[in-house]
Amino acid sequence: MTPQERCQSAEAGLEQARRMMADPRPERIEQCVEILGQVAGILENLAAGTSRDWDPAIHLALHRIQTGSRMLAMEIEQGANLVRGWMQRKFGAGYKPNGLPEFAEREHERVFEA
Amino acid sequence: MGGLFGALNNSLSALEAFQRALNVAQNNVSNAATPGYANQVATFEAQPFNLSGGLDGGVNSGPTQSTDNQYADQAVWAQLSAQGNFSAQSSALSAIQSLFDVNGQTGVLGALNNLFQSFSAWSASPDSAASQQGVISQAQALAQQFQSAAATLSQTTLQLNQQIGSTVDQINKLASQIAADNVALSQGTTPDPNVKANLEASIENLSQLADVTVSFAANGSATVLLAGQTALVLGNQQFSIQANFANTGSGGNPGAVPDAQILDANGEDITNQISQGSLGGLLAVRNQVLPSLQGDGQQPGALNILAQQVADRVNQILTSATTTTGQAGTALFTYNSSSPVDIAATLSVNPAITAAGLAPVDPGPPQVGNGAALALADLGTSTASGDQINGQTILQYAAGIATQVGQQASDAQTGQTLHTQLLAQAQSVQTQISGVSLDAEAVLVLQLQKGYDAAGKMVSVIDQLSTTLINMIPNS
Repeated sequence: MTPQERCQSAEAGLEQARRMMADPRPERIEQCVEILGQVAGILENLAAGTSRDWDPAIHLALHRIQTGSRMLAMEIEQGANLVRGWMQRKFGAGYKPNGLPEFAEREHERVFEA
Repeated sequence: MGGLFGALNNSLSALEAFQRALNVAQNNVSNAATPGYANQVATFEAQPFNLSGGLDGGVNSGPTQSTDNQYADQAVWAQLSAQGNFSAQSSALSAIQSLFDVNGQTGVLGALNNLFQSFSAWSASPDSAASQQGVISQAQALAQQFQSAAATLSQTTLQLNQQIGSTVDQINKLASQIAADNVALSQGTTPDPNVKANLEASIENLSQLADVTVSFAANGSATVLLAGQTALVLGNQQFSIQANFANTGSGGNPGAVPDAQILDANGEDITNQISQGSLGGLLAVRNQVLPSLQGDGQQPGALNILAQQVADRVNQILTSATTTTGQAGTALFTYNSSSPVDIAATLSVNPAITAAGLAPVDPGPPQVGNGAALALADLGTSTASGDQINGQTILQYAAGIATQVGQQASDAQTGQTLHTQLLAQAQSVQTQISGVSLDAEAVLVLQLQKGYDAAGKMVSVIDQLSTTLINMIPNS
């Protein structure tokens, strides 16, 4: 694989992850993490390569990958915040003295088996 | 209620309960495509069973429960507002962006480059009629570009006024529908799911137009505040807002376009409260971007500053110079100097000047035959304090305007893309969690949380790797 092809593959992976993150079902997020792992692997291989005599197009592609990953990070952060807020709203029982949210103890969590 | 009548009544009650469940199912089908509609769950309440006391047991339908989740709704509304904001900005800025070509080939920047090149050609052959005519032609082209840019900005202002007015009308119409739905909800014993679905659709549509804060009463009726401060709907009462484009107290520059204002029902200015939704986006371009270019009551605007500096410096150099026949030089440009916001719109080539009347000679001492023409050729990149605008050369300043507009348009486009994605995400989570049991909901949110944590860590690794790679490239 040429550096150019690696970048194209990484960009395609990020785009696929972004599309999947728009419909965040647990199984899709799991797939998304796998794809992101592949993207990270591609970039690691690129970094491990000895040649740095890259086409300017690769430089631009890397900037696009960086921007794409930062936008994806914002989407993930929003999703995580949404879920955290949701948990707190539905299962929260106020706040602890240190200001962190307190969650209600659920019935099954009080049952212990020897 | 014993005996046959009691048993019959018991059966009727059960039938009514099933009928009610059927109605709920019907509502779910017919409202499936309505924005904001959440599944309705019919509940069945066991009736006390005590024959001796006259209570016949059986089931009765309890109040219909809506499984909608206000938290998810709020997240969707917030993204709708942000998306509306960036979408409106992106659309408005695309019209302006074409005026300022960042590559310097067309528009004002392109015409400026061409004028300085014509000065350069003239300095090489000051007596050439062709090069003299070249200067006049390029000066006319530059004046035309300034006038055209000013006219387009003015036209864009009018279009934005119309869009702001129309958006305000839509907000008032939706607020009126919400107030009517509130009346219907307050009259029923249980919230009518159709009315509630209409109400939620209205709130979603309203969220795209402005940042609204919504709270619901026990009967399902909604209180809607604009930007969390100004009441739009309280119970059955609607408070209309209005747009004002004739604010007379907005500064001292004669002929300046006043900022657009949004007034509440009491006539108070609430413009600064509105930052989101398409109304927020339209107001940002109308009251911030456009005035920074075309000026307003307080500022001349970058386009007028540039036009004045170019015209004044060219005129100063030419009127200090002489023609090759020893005649005093004539100013190349004229403009209406009575208002600092009218310069670009009125910039034109001095009708009194002729090609032969251009003055290339710097009288010195020492006299230089093409000294003035050379000074004009270098004017665009001159770092002399008198030639600069705010510490930048004329061409840097002109390029800076193009870059700024381009950056604003690009930011709006990026924001629109991002919030469209975030909206889809919030809507998906809203759909997934709406209508599932509390236990299923707990499992789902925990799974999502775990997935987000893993994805967040992986994206952080990708960001670090891409940054490392960029830094590894020489000269990056």
